[in-house]
Amino acid sequence: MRINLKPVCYNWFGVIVISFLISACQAPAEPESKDDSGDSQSENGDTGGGQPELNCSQTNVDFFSQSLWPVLSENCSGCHIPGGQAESLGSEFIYSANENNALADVTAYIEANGSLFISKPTQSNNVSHGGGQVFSASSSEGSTLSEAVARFSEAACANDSEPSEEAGLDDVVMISPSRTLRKSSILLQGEMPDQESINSALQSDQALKTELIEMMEGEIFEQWLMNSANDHLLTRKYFTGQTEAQEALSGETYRYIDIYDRTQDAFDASTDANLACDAVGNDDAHADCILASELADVAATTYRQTQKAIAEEPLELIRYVVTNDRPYTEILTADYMMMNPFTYEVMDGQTWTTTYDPMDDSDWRPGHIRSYRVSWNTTLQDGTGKEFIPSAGILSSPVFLVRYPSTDTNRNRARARWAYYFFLGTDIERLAVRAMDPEELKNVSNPGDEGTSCFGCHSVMDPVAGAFQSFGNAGEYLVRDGLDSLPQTHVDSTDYQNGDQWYRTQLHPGFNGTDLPVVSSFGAVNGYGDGLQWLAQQMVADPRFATGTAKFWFKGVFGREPLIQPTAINDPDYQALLDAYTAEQALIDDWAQSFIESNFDLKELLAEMMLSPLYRGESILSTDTFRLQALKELGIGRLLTPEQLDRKLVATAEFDWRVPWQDDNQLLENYYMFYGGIDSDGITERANELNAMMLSVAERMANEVSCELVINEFWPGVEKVLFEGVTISTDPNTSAGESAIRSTIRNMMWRLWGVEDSSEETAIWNLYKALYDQRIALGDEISDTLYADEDVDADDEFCSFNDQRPDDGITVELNWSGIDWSDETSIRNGIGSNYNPEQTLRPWIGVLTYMLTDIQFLTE
Amino acid sequence: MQRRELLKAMVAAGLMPASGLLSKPASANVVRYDGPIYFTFFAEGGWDVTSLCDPKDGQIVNQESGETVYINHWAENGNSIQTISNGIQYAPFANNADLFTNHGSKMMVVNGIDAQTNAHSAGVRHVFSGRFADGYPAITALAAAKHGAGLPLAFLSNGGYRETAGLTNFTLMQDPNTLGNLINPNSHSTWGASQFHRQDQMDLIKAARTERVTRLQARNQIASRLQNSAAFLESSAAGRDQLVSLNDYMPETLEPQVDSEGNWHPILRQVQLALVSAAAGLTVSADIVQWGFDTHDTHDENQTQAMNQLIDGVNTLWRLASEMDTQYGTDLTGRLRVVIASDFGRTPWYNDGNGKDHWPIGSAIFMQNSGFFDSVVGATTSTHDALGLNGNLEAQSENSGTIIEPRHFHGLLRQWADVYDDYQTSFPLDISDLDLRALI
Repeated sequence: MRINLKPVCYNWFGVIVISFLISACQAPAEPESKDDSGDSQSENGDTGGGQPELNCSQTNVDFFSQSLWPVLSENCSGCHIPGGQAESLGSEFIYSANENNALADVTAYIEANGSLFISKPTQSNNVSHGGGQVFSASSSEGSTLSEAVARFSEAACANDSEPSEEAGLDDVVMISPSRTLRKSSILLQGEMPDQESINSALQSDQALKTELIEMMEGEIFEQWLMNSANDHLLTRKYFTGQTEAQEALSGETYRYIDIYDRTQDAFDASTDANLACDAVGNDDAHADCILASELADVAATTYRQTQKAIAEEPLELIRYVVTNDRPYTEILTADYMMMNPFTYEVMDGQTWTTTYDPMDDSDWRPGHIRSYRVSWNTTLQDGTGKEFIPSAGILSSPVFLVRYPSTDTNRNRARARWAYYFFLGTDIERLAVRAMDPEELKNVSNPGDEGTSCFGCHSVMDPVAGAFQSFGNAGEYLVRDGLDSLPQTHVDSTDYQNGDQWYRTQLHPGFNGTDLPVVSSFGAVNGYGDGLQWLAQQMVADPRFATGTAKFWFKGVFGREPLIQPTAINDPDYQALLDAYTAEQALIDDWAQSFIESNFDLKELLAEMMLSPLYRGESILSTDTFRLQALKELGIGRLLTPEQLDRKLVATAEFDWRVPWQDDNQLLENYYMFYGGIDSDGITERANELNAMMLSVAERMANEVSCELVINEFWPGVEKVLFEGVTISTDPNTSAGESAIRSTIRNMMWRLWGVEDSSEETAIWNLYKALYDQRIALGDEISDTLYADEDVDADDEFCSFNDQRPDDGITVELNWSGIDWSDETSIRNGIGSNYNPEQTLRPWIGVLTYMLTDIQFLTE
Repeated sequence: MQRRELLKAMVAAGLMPASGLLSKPASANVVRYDGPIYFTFFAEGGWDVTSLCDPKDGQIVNQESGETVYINHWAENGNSIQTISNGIQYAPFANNADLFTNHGSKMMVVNGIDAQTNAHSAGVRHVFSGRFADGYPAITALAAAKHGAGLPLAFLSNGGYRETAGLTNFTLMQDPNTLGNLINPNSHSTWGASQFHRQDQMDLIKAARTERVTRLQARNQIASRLQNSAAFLESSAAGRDQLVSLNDYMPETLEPQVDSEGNWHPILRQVQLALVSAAAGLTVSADIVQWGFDTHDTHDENQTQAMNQLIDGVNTLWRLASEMDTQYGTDLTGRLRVVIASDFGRTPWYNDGNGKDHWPIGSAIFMQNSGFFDSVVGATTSTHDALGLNGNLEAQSENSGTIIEPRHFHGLLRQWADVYDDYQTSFPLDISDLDLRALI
């Protein structure tokens, strides 16, 4: 993204104009003086009204309805509606008497006449007005008119799109800064952006970028980081999959001497306490049984958190580096590994200098692997003279190495392949996409031999594989008695010489044409604690580290992998695909340059990516089918993961879809796998497209959430989030009622869908009205309550009544006792919003169900 | 023809609009499946086959204590091994009599399978894929991949080994209740009111959704990605609606999830929902899981509980299949192919805590309504070491013949599921030293 440092402002139709609201902008050209009713305008006059304070969380339509229309109807409608005196005097400012139709008339006038809209009724700037001064420029009415000019002429609260300026993508129209901020805030912060942030982001791309970076902190952002990283590294396999992390690290050799100690001690203590509890007859109230219960919890927690700490260690390293604003290169160069008390106590035990809570799983600090043995009877220290296993960030992470294991014949090539892929963005398997000679395949004994067809890829891969030489097939360090990690069959062969660390028949360990510094040919590394530490330095110094980092985070930010370079030059869509690929690569190169210049600040990189049309694209100004197809995964419309959809529901509706007895929300529990989640083991690919079962989950969510949310928001005294502006008594058959309902719909559309769209607003209003009319027509067939618990039959509707905000001081709970059914107040006091003879709430439940299952709620 | 090629062809033929929606995913077109259905019952944790289908009533020298002890307490208490008419022997333990007397005629027992490990995950992977290393698909995945293309619920899983190797997708049923919630998302299965929205209100919502998707797809000023997502939503709605066919077979009462003693007992509902999906023609295979066999302490009590629940699940499977056949005219009973297996076995002695630890030798039980020509294959010594087989699949004396390993077991399973030849190239099994396929 090339940052446009100029403050930009947009008019109502998305054309770039200049705003007087931003000091760096030029003042807009005043409309030519005109006096459509015999008035005159002086030069250089004060437009009056002053600079308004804008609340851009209020949409322009809401502003008109709630603020401007009351001023106009009270002060102007007497003359300026059709047939009024102003029309007879030839005024251009004539608007419909109907509020819903007046909006277009008024905005058209303001767009054409700008500040004349203020000057006339205030008679400021020596502008005359046939109706005289109606109010002063400094009055609240004058301020409202000033805001109208700012909104409708200068588009100060623009939610409009803007064109991309990126080469090769300049036909992409992007969502506005405010929508960009909303999307990012939902994904990174799990909340809607506040008004101050929106106002700030509207000032410039640089300001938007600053706001985006400020969102990159806190628990939700850290979870986003770790989830995105795990989607590649998949080390959570050993926490959410079928293999326990402790067992994976131990293998058959139990090198990590103490790794089971803490877990075993916890379960032993629990077992002993259970026996004691048995001895007292399993009396729950007895101290021995209380202790048994507590120790059972401790054992379960110890077991679970130990698996998690091992499995998430490389993800925690990324989190540690990014949240502490350390250079991202440290994810490979870190000479430590991350530990929390559950791993620190069984792997290290010496490094930390300050106290810690042994049960605090959030206390992550650097540490080292010290409790290790290189053979059954020899500790790491005795066998190698090293105090701890040398670390090289993720490259040497035990769980990373075991997640990407090797064999005696693979010889770390798979690890080299993944290191190139994850950290340099190079997919070695795509370096030579061509048919191989079957005869050669049968006859080549060493693919690293120069002159073979295999050499092209293996010359890249094999040296890096050699740099992993210290680590055995399951990630064990110097597995052969602390000497090396060579298989005994090789050591017993004639190819082996004393002191060798790697196969003499392989290419020399190294990277990109530079050999690993060694004390002797194929011997131990020289000048570094381990070959991986040297490799890490080489990799982060390579320009591909920056582009590779952008590619690593591509899926997390954009929900897809980078485009693949097209190779079928005779395909009719080849040029379109090549253009899209080239433009994307240019963006990646730009981001990488900024990333390097920022001293590898990942937040800088992520913000750049989020400013781009790949993140913000909404439409493409092209009718070329191949062009559209080439950009079919660009911009908005990305299907949210279950984690993201859960966050979005909480952010936009402030609602947790949860059953009380579960730890996580439903999308992360019962429905997680149904909705395309991964277990990092058997299921490693997230669903990119909605399927039948996922839609069922979305519908289930909408059905379960809607009634509970409505009954909570309309409960007397509860602060509204989605349904601000309407009450249980808002009558859709009145003009005021329709106006209020439409305003609420607009609020819901912004929060849930991120759009302003008058045609969709009308469609939702029509749905509300149809649902309402249907209920009214049913008369006595339907209940006065949202959920009737008496005389129920199959046609009755269910609603749950959990108090969604138990800490807000207002209890949402049905209390049927003592109700005087002749007194509405008594009824409301007892059963709150469950009592709805007006039939106004079920239509809202239907509308919310409709909106929560819409594709613009399920995507971003 | 791949989708991209189709796209090109459509453009060349002038069938592709120049703008607007590029393509819509085809609506799901479910073809009903009426072939054999493959159910794997996974006894999670390592079951004690010496108290089941490979009964041992003798004594052994406890390797830990050096004492001569009974392998099983039921033998120590004077109870005897039982034999049914087809020659299958079983231990007088738990509800085994119920299982073998009612269903023994449907069984073929394979004893003496050597998992070659004492580690749970390695044992599960080895026994249920035929290979120690990662990556080989479960037999249920292979069956679903070959026979269930296009089915929305071809492979149901409740846990256990579920590697698919990318051949198919499984539908995870972490909570069997959940699937019921998704068949009809508007249904609320509780007392009293049973739906979230009245049907007439739901009809209005659905109509509004349809109109909304039409409007989205008609727009030019919107990203292709969003339009395509909307198209998938539309096609998903069609596929989702086909899931409703499950309701045709969904019983009014779901099986309980607690046993008579109040213990968590989820296997019955797993079985029930898998049968419902199979009856609806949507499922080829299912993994059913019974937890609780890792009985390192108080073995007899805990193993009995797990075994009784497992037996309850097997009984329920055949009972419900028969009932559904009667009610709906399905031939579930004739279509069922069932295999029951575990990580491995348990030691032929008790430890200090009266428990039993891991032992690599285990068994498997095959079931089909028509039974098998051979009822028992493979054998172990009186102290539960595996015996080898000769080419005629006859048990040999110790240290001769070929011991049954998971790869041999899987050759048999693949033959049974009619997938052996299909995947022998991509996921080869070396069974040249012992081919059990003639048993099917």
